[in-house]
Amino acid sequence: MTAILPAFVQPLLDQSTDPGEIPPIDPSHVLGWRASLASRILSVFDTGSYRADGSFLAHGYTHLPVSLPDGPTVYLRMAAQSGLLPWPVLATSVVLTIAGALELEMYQEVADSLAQRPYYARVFRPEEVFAVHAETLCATRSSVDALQLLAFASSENLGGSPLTRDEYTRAAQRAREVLESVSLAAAGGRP
Amino acid sequence: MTTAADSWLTQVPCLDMPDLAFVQHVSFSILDRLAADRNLLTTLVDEVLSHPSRMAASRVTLLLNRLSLWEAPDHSFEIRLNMNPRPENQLVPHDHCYAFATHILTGGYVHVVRRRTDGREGPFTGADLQPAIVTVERPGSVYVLDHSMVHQAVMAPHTVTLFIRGPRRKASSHAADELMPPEQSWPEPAVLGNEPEPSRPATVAEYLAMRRYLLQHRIIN
Repeated sequence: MTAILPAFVQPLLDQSTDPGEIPPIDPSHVLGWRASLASRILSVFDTGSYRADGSFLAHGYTHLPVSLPDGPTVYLRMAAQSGLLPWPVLATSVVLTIAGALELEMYQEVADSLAQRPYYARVFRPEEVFAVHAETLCATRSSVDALQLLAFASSENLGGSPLTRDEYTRAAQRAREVLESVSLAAAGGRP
Repeated sequence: MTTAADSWLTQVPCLDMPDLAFVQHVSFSILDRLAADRNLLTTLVDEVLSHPSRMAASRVTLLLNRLSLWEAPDHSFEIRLNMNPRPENQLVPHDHCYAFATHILTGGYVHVVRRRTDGREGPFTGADLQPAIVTVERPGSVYVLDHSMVHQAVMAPHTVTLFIRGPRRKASSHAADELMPPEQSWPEPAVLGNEPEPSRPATVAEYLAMRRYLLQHRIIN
């Protein structure tokens, strides 16, 4: 696993379908990772407009690729719409909340999803993590100030609409500002 | 305030609603408020022994111990305090007879929500399950789960959670039999010579031990 991501990400990505398998993560270790992650992402996140390739808009989020020296496919994700929108999960996906809030709902059947009749619901605040496995019917809504890191177990094509260079530049700049703010706050400075 | 019956708990609306979003809204509000109200939590724990129905609903189970703190006058919800987890037994995927919401007070756990591939009613085996949502729960986390959902919560040793359940929606809960903990790991019988049970009412000594534990860990005053 790349040194960029916290150690608890890989066990979440690696979880099999074995019903007796629980990712071996100590909850007390899932704390205090946000600022250092923001700093590490800043060191590899390129806001130059030539990086627009690979960025896209899908299911209510702007996705900006983050190039890691090794490890999983990773994007920075920011809310582009305010509603609760379905998230078609094609491969095990791990979300780390860097800023803002995220509401997650899970459904049993498509009809439940259409009626927004959840069977599981949770709100995630900054510095929380969760995984969603393929074929799970779910929807999310994020606050306008939300920034998340999304890691995939595979590099499947996620579809969506490509961003223009201008759209990428604006989004990347916003993401950089949030990362700098999170990173600076932990260093004792105030943004 | 002298008793919990004088508190805001009596003003909570009925939770006998099929809409989990409504249950989420109300139960999160209750749990957040109670988690921040150490005096009321203390009163509720202290009152268990003097309310036979709460004492009878306080149980020692193969997964953890629990105190039944409050049942709504209309029986539409019950508030519990879960503690003393048995993580070695908590691998078993199971559902519940009711929708519930949980607020983590101390400790934490990896929570695995699984989706059933064989429908949403009746017994299931591990082969009928696929992982769906996996979270790492820490103090302050809150979530709500429908009775038909299957989950596992493998808790850190000193995990204590506030738990609110809605009305019963089915006759019995289910668990993947092949992953059920062996009988030797079930709670000791309350009466010497009786058969062990996966869940039984707490004894007075066990209630006192739970109360002492909560005091020692400064969860109550």
